[in-house]
Amino acid sequence: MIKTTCAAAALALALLMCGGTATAAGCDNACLSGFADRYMDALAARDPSRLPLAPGARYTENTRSMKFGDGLWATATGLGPYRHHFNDAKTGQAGLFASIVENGSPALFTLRLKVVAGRITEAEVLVVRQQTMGAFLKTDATSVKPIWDEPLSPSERMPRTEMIAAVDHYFDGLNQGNGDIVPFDDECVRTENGVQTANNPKGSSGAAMFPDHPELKLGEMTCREQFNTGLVKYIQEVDPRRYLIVDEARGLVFGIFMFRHPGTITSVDVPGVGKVPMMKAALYPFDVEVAELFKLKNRKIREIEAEMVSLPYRSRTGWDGGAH
Amino acid sequence: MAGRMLALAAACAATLGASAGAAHPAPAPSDPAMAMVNAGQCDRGCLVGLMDQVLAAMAAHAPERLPLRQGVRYTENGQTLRPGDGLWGTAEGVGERHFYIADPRSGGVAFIGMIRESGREVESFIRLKVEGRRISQIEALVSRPTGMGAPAAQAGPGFVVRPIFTEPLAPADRRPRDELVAVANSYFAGLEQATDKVTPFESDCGRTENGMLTSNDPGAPRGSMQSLSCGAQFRTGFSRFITEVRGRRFPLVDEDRGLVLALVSFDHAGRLKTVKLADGSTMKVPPPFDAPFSFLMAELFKIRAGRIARVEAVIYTTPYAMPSGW
Repeated sequence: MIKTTCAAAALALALLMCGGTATAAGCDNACLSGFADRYMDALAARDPSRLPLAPGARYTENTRSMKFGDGLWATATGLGPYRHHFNDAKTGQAGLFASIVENGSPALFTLRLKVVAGRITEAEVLVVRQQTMGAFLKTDATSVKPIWDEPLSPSERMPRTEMIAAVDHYFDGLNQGNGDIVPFDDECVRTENGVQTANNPKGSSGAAMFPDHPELKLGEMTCREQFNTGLVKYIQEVDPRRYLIVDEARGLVFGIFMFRHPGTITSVDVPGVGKVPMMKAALYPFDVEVAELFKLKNRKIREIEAEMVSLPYRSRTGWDGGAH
Repeated sequence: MAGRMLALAAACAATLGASAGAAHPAPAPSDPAMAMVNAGQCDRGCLVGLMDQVLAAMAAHAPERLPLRQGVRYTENGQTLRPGDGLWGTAEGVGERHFYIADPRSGGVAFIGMIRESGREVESFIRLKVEGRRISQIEALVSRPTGMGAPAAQAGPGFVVRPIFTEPLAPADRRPRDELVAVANSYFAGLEQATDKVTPFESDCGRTENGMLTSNDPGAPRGSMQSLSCGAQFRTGFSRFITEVRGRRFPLVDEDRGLVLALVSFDHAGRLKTVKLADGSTMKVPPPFDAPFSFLMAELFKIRAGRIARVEAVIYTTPYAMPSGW
């Protein structure tokens, strides 16, 4: 079955990649990482013809549909040292967080590939540039934290649907400003655009966001404590929530999520602090599309890595007709 | 230095263009999109009154107060929203600095100026289409910062209402509607071709974008791009890094005042690192124009005796190749 699938691939390299351990979907974890690596090589060469693209393959960059060869394909000037793979052999999808260089400027990069019968049918990309994210971008990571690749013990593993349900509570918790409904590990660490934004002893003081309340040291708080301040409620909707990649063996859930900020929450009653005016940057309508990877350990959210781009309010994802 | 760069970048942005002009002819007067659906039903005062109603309803967060047609469309910064969402939830009123453009013949009216939102003023553009005294289209551009640490759109002296956009022309300086649209379209053609030869400018034409003078700025260093008049900027040929002026619409014309309102998107593919100027020198393409992104723009032209006298633009920065919603 798998040999037949691979043989259907026209390109020799695709054949080689399919030569790994086969699965029902035709491409195992290593095979999918190979597709993502090959994508990066083609991107660095600015040459999409090096990819085994299926007829009608779709490409989006920061939600916009464009042809392979346009956008970052024409401006990438190099690859950075950071490359974090995560895959879903059951659905034939490869995920990647990476650092890149665009016209000499460092940037972060998210890739989702859908692979069918040895060919790429979908490529969804976020490019996180300094011009749109300003100081909220750190590109100096060189190695992937080991925790991401650690397999779970069999007793820790959860069915795919339960993993997604656990992560879904995270977004409900954001909307409601309630960390107690989210299965957080107390050691939960979140890294966003390369910046550690939870459980970070060197985290932000909060003074920049909440000038009258420097005691709100959000970056130092745990994930649960942050949610329980209620200040995250400015993320009033997370819709759509597109769950795209699940790895039961490693406890990974990845999706691309649209954070909607109508800008209408002007203050929050923070327990133990009182009424706190909302940070100014959240007082007008805007969206952020977030590519977010969760590690579940002992059925709790232990590690989060995300890359995100800000977008016009009520943007569409580019995949509203179906992600995969 | 950073401010200077920003001004230069904006000046560059204002200029634009670099593809085949023939691909973007001005709409013919018979174009269905220009259909004159409003004859005699809502005059200038009626149109401006409806715009004021919309602005008041936004500040009151109450779209239900408005005479909206069934199926009314509302877009904000290129996205389709329901009336009541977006600016309707955050607007607090209208700032003192604003003016209107009205076109009773097509049933169009536009507002350019400051809207108070969440305790600050932000330069905005709003366009209505009115059919049978009811509103069928609302299109808003709100030049907010794009969020999450990105630099604010506003810089420089800020938006001011320029009398030239509200003063009527002397009868001899007026031109027919189709000619006015053709002149406005020639601005984009000139940018596409990186030449001043196809666009009729007055010699001291200036341009303002998001409140920033980006052409004919008397305060700019002598010889700098933003010190040059519109035509002199075009003559340098520096606009080639704007790869397409896409989705051009010309929904409002005021023949008495010589106004044409255009809505366009500028695509910057980010491919060019340098541009060879007409004088043989080489200009480095400044950031952010060295990476892919687009502008969604409302651009108002004052055309006097067939020549562009002044340009005023409201700009919102978008992801590369984002459509306008129309």
